[in-house]
Amino acid sequence: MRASRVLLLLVITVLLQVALFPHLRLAGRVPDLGLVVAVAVAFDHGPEAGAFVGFLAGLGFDVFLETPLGLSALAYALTAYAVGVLQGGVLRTPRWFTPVIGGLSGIAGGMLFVAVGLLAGVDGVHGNHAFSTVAIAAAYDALLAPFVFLVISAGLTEPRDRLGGRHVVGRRFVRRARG
Amino acid sequence: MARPRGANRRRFVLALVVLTSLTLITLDSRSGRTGPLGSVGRVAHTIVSPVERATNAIAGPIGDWWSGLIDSGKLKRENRSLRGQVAELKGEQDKAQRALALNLQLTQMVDLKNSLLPAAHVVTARVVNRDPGNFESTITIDRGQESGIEKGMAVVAFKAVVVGHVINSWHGGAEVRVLADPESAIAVRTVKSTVTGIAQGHAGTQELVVSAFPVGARAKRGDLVITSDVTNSLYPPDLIVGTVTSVDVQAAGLGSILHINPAIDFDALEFVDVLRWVPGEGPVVTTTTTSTSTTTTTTNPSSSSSSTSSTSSTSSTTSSTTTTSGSTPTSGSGG
Repeated sequence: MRASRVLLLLVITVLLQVALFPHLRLAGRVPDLGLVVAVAVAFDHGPEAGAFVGFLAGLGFDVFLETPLGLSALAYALTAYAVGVLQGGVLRTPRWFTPVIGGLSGIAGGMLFVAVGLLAGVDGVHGNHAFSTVAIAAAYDALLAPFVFLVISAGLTEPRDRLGGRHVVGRRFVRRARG
Repeated sequence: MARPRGANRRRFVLALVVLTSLTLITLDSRSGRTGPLGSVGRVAHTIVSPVERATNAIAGPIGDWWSGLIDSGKLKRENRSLRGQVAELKGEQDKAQRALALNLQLTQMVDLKNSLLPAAHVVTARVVNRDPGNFESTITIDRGQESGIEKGMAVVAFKAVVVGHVINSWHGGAEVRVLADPESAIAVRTVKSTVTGIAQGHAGTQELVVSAFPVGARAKRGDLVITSDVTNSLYPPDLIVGTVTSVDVQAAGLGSILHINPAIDFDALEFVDVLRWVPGEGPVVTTTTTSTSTTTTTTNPSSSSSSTSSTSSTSSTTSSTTTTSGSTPTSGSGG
């Protein structure tokens, strides 16, 4: 995974999230594009790369929000890391799996955001509104996930993972399974 | 048995990310966006502003199409409802006439053209973006520091209806927290009363709520709610906020809870006016005097406002358009 490509990916992700998706709302909510991208990277390149990309994408998004800086970064990074670790135990993934991963990650990341936001004293994350927002945003994430996974898979995958310095996780497990 | 290096590395990355995030959250929660973190935000906004404007021009029609696609069922229901309302209104011409007369009367009452706006240096701006996140209610406008817009200035629509206040400004844009945001607060009263209450936004709804409106205020459904004349308020008095939709009287003389429907739909705003209004002092009146050797910028009222002067050694005429606003509040909420 080249650093320049990762940087380009992060810039495009933040720009789309900040400038485009506010115009394309689903029931008044925007998706967590950075989270889906980070999860897709974690899926292809392992938990460390996912956490790293999630942290940077979240941080880039946080700059434009009024919530505390680092809140999205933490939620995205932890979710991507968890997905990367869990993915290690999966040998093959059917096509329908990506929307499920996107949706579940959206719920996990959203709930993390809400939980840490409550601890940090953010006013807007109280009550049923927070749960409905997380659910709708997660559904949007699920819709976007197949496209994002496709782009990440085509755009970032290389024989060697330069960020991690190792082979990508999925390939490693496939090779190990073959013996 | 030694742990594999990969596991240690993973834990190190995880710990690094978590600790960095928690440190940033703590720093930002304590100091707000006034320090270096705020500067980073303003620089990022300045860079992204042209993209936001371009995207607004391109994605606006796409967004309308998308909304129509997503909300088609809702639009059909709304259409049916509106047809019913039209039929109903046709049979109630007399009520409409009375409403028009009342509207005219109220507009004259709170008309700011003859009092506030000419002196307050209104800056008209286009709304180019809305809150990028899901847990806040903000709008982004296309005028910022280059137009003298500073943090804390009141933002209105249609010259007299409160939208919110500026919470961040940069070159080429500013971010406005609308009244519906949970962190927004505004001192209000009903037209028929002088008793003041604090209206706050609620997450997930555009409704404003006054949680402890005094008992003697006697507010009722349909009352017009306007800004109150409170010292150091972010908003000038007598601007329209909305109408009372319901009043919940609390037991034991704790006052009542007012539910207020804002006078405007914050999601449908296209243009807004930023009032160069200094809380506690009134409208900013800026006079700029330019001579061949000295440039003086004075802000009035001047009790605590700033004034600058600079001296030039050359004899050439200096064209200055600089304006200096007075002190701006640091509080995030209105009041």
